[in-house]
Formats: sequence, C-alpha cells, structure tokens
Amino acid sequence: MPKITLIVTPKKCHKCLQCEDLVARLLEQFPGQLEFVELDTTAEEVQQFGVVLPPMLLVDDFIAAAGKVPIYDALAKLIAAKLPKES
Amino acid sequence: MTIYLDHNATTQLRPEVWDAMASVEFGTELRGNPSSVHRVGVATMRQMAAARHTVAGILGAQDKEIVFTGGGSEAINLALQGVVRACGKPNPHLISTTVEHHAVLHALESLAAQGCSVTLCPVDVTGRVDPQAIAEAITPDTLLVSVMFVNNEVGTIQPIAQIGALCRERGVLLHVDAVQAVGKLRVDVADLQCDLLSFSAHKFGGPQGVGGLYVRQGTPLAPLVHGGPQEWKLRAGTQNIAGIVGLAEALRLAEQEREGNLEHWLQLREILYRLPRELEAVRVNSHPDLTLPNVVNLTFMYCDGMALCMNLSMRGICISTSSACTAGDLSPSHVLKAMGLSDMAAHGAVRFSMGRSTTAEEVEQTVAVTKEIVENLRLVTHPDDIGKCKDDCPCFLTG
Repeated sequence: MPKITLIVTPKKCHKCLQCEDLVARLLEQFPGQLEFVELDTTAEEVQQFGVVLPPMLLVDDFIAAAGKVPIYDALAKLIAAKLPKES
Repeated sequence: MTIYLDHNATTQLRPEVWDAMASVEFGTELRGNPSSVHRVGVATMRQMAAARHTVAGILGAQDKEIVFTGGGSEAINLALQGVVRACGKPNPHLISTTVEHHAVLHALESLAAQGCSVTLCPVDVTGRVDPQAIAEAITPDTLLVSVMFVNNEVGTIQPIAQIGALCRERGVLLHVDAVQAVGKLRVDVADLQCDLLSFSAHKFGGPQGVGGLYVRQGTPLAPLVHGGPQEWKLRAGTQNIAGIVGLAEALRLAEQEREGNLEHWLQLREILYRLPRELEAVRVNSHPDLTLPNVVNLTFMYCDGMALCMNLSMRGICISTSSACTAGDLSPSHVLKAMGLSDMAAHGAVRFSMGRSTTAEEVEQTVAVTKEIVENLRLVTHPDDIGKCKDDCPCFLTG
C-alpha cells in the first residue's frame, strides 16, 4: 500500500494547510488504498530525512514536494501507478 | 551504501594522511609546542618545517612565504583584510568578480563598510571573467585584485596567469582564492604572478580546519590575530601541528596523483554528460573546456534543484544544490545569477563533484536515479512555484 507522509511545521503555514487539503482529497479518491502519516518537524521520525523543507510530501520514499504544494492531478496519477492493477 | 558526489564541499580524509597525523599525536616522540626551545619543541618544530617545505615546493614558493591558517576562509580574510590594514592608505580600491566564494565577497563587504571602494567585475555565461574588464577597472587607488582560480559551484577556471601579468604590470597586488584548485590543478605561484594565494586542506584529502596562505616576499600584510610571533608574525597562536602535517601529506599525495585524477574525472564526466543528452531541457552550466573536470553543474529546467538533491539523498546519493536556503528565503545561487541564469534556471541547478575515489559504477547509478527523479519531479511540481517562497511562510531547514 503506498504510504503518504506529510511533514509540516508546528505552526502550519498556508502551504502546509494546502498540502493537508490535497492529502484529504487523495484519501477520498483512493479510499482504503493509502497509508497516511502526518508529522511535524519536531517529531523524532523526521530526523531520518536529514534536511527537511516543509511542507514536505512523500509518496513512499519519493519526495514529491519540498517547500511547495505539488500538482494534484500529477500526484494522483503517480499514486495510481503504484496501486496494484485490478484484474 | 552512500555515493558521495560532493567533493567540492569536502573530501574524505585519506588514511595515509590520518597515519601521518596520528604519528604526530600518538607517535613514539612527544608532541610539543613548536615555539618551545627544548628538544621536544624543536622536534615538533622540525615536523612543521618539513611540512612547510613540502607545501612550498609544490606551489613553487619559498618556505618563508607559506603561512598556515585555520582554513581557507581565514586565509582569504588574512589576505584581503591584512593587505588593507598594512597599506597605510585611507580608502583603497579593491577589485574582484561577481562569482567569488562568500569568504571573499563578505570580506569585501566588510571592507567596503570600513571605507574601501570595491568593484566586482562581471563574468560571461560560463562564469569566466575577461582580464580586460579587470584591467579597465584598475584605478590609481587600486590596491588589490582578488580572483578565484576555480569556481566552487561550476568549476570554471579563470585566466589567472593573464590577470597576474596585468596586475604585475600595473603595480597592483593579486590574491588568488585557489581553494578549489590546489591539489587538483598545477598551481605555481611564479607562473601565476600572484602575491597571495589561499588554499584549504580538506579540499584535497586533508583534515578540516587547516589551510594556508602564500605571501610573496615583500607583500605588505598585517595580522588579524595578534599574540605570539608564530607564522612569521602574521598569524599568532600555537600551530595545529597534526593538521599542518596532514595538509602537507595530503597535498604531496594529491600532487603525485594529479594527472591521473584529471584523466579519471574526464572519463567520469562523460557519464554525467549523458544527463543533458538523454533528458529534455538540461543545461550544462560549466564552461565546456576550461572547467575542472571533477565538477558538473547542471540545470534541470522545470525541476526543483532542492527537491532533487533531497530525493537523491534519500536514495543514498549526496550532491549539492547551488541554491542556499535560509529561513523564509530560497535564494538562487549568486554565481549562476551572475552568469545570467534566470531565477528558475538557477533554482533547477545542482552540482555533482567527484573525488579521486569516485567510481564509474557510482556515477552510472547516479545518472539512472537522477533521470528517474527528475522525470517524476517535473510531473508533480508546478513550474511557477520553483524557487518561490512567500514572506509569510515559516519554512526552514532542520538537521
């Protein structure tokens, strides 16, 4: 199952909020097919990423956006390609 | 496994260099203060003198023309500020270029704040300065010209010998920031006709925190650090003996291997050049010929260089972005901007810098992974968002 990780600042900026909305839409478009984790930059797990430029949105280990809001349609297409094909 | 392609930022300490440094710290002889007059101090002083002799020999200088410092930035600051302090003129004029390292640019800013006038000469699209532009900038008040030998971001080699000849002819001092050149290119201070030349050990397999400045005999220079008479009274403080011995050993080895390394990098560079051939809209930012071949700076248009760099890091590949990022601001590289690149092109730039240990397999893998990431990033990043960061955005970097 593709995993979406969203890293935001503790005091979320407008781009963090836009990314949250974008992830909500993705979860709606792919119900039950995505794992989602939201972390703020103070979380211990964030250290593994080294340099972090929030909002940072990852699909598995691909950083789709760092400091920006990614394009929704392109991201949805990328995620769809990762889902198991329906027989 | 990590693929390290950020050798222009720092190289790994060579084991042979570590052995040489360890023999100073943990060898059979005690390590003393080289200024002490007892046998331990004298033995330590001899180790330092041998290291100085090695460095001077490689640079074509005399032993007494080498001043060891705490690194490249300190050497550069000693050169620029030291010359101004020693000149005795109230408001001297200084000349440099727009693509210098921040160690030079910020030192010049500080001197300008103290009353010096500064002219920064422009560069062409490859980052080269025209010696004629330097010649035209010289005025009767010009004290010093400072030009880097090799650009740290794009690798472009400057026409230092030509600039040296014209400075000598016009009676103006020349400082060369050779931090990226020493240990990689042949550097001979007589051929370059420079008066001051700075270098740093960790750029050629030596330890961090030690560097040096060549000071041609008779060059007026005042110290920045006052105290004891060390380093010909130009840099007070007990010397970093292990660091100095390490610097000399690293430089000796780098000099021995210099031609082989250049050959090796030329071959590896061809592999990296597959990126502009196989991907759309990729610009090679370095000069096509007059470039140190260990560096390839590429702009991937419509791709955020910072995101590319971070993705490569996630995949174990360490490169560098040309953009500096500070709180609330994503500033494009001043070097690429000075070369005429747009903000968007500068934000899409990354630097691959190879070392002596870099292998063809590592570069092949880097090319394959970079292609995959660039293609995906171009899909999901809105081109207009690249490099944009509004003032109200609290974004920042964490380690």
